[in-house]
Amino acid sequence: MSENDIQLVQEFQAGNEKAFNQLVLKYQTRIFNLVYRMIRNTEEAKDLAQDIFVKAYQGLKQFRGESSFSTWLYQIAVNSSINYSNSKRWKNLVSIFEAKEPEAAWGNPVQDIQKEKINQAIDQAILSLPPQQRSVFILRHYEELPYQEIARLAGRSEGALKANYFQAVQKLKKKLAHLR
Amino acid sequence: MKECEIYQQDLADYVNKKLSAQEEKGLLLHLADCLACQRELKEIEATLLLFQKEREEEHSEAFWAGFAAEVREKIQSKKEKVPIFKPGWVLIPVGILLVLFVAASLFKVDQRFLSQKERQTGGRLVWLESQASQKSFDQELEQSLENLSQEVEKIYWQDEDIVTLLAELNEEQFKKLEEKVKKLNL
Repeated sequence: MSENDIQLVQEFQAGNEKAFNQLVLKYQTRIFNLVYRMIRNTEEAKDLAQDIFVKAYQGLKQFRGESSFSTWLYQIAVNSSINYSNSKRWKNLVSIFEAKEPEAAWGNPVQDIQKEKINQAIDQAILSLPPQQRSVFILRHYEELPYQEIARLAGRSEGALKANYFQAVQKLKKKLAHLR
Repeated sequence: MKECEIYQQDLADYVNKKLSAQEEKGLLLHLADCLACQRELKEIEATLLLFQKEREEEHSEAFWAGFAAEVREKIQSKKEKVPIFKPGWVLIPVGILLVLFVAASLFKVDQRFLSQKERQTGGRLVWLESQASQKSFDQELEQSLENLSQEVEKIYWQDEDIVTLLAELNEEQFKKLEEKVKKLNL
């Protein structure tokens, strides 16, 4: 855990509420990006990222520093995103999302439509992965975390995660074959 | 697991330059001789290249400015949250009480019915809790069982065919029966 994080956590545990605000400011972008990549909806991701910080606030008094604060926070974020993805509310959103047609934007309409098509295809391909597999792909591909760190977050073996990542890449390869 | 499958698990990490020098060396040696893995590498490269074209989610300062404040508001609202009345809190205990009341009422009716039965002639029912001791209860039970077996025996013999009954008797029993019938002077 970085020195600054330890200090902020200790200050918060001693009763300084402002220390928690500093932790939020430090990690808000990373947590939002992680959640967004998992659920692929800006507003929902913002809401969920905020809920993750609320959960962190509630649990931080009991945090004993056995892992780094960032690992602990990531763990909450990954679990919350998986649970959210599994929820019925999310399934409904996906169906609406899938029906959406690409929209032309100002600028170069042909290029923009092409880009939007790629974005939508990637969104759909990632959403088609089972939530747990999706989280492994996101932590490895986007967050660039080593398998050792992901294993600590997910509570699974490195071998299993490596196989999971491979399966995710295979599925994405098939789903995006038409764009290659 | 086949050799190719082991190496193919490393292809995405190879494309993203995440392999150690030793892992990369082993993979390159395998790729030099394996056409299937070379083809697989090209496909994975092309797929992961699409992710580089993916949009970057960038948000305005206003988006982030309100973020921490909204987190604080959510924390505050959780702290201040007054427990909302839930009908279940009242309905469940009321339901339990109702069930207990109905059960108690039925129990009373049954008890009254049993005591009425006990007073009637020609039948005697035993109310277990009213027994003074285990001994008297055992006697009552024994008597009841004996009465019951007599009743069953009586019904059995009433329905039994006389010819079948006589056929089951041995010679001695038959003679005794014959003497008894003669004494009746029918």
